[in-house]
Amino acid sequence: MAWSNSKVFACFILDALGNTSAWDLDTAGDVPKVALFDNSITPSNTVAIASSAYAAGVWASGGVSDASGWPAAGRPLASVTWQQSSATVTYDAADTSSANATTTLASVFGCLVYDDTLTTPVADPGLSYNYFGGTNSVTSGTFTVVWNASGIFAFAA
Amino acid sequence: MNLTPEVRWVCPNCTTTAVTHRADVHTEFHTCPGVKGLTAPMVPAGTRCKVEATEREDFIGDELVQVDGDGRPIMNLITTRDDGQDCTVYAPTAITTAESLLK
Repeated sequence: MAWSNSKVFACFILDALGNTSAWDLDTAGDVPKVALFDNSITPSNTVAIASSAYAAGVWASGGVSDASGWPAAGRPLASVTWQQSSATVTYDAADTSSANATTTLASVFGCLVYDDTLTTPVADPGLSYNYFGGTNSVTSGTFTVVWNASGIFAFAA
Repeated sequence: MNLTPEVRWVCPNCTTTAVTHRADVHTEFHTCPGVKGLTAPMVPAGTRCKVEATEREDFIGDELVQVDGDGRPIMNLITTRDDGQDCTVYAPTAITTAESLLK
């Protein structure tokens, strides 16, 4: 098995609505990060919050990184927004790029979006994972994730 | 004294140009008619390169993917330069519906 789709962690919704963790995903709040992964993992959005976290569960292996361009722990999301349109609530951000123009990455199949600020009760819990649809590589260049106009993730009531 | 460098950007696939004055490492993007409306990176003026869109390799299923002006699901845009290669990935939206949470 490997990944095949993009999902929001159900435990994130439960944790946020239950006020279990002090999520603050507005612009001036927590720092969400985008960590890259290869095709050796099979993510699930029904895991417990501890297994959604960066460096835990399936996210403990399979990371793809460039030490200075796109570190293993990921690149931060910037200019995050929450929008409501009719019955759909969308979380979005500015497109995320590598820190330099000399980044080398191979076999990038998707990313984990997680909260790098939260430390308790679970550190670095996941928000969503986004599957890119195949293998992506960059050689001594810039790697950019262009987020969909429909957002990084969305809730439809 | 102004120490922010001026960078002149051009698009290899259309006539769009831009000028930025920023100190940080950045790439200028635009909606490019040359690649059927995708959000595409520009390159510093004088850069020799080619730009190719890659169609999504895996099935779409119920994924909310990004498509070009012809409705093709696009996975990435590869800019190949003499000294390297850039990759712009078009990420799908992760969607959760109330129905899926009740399953």
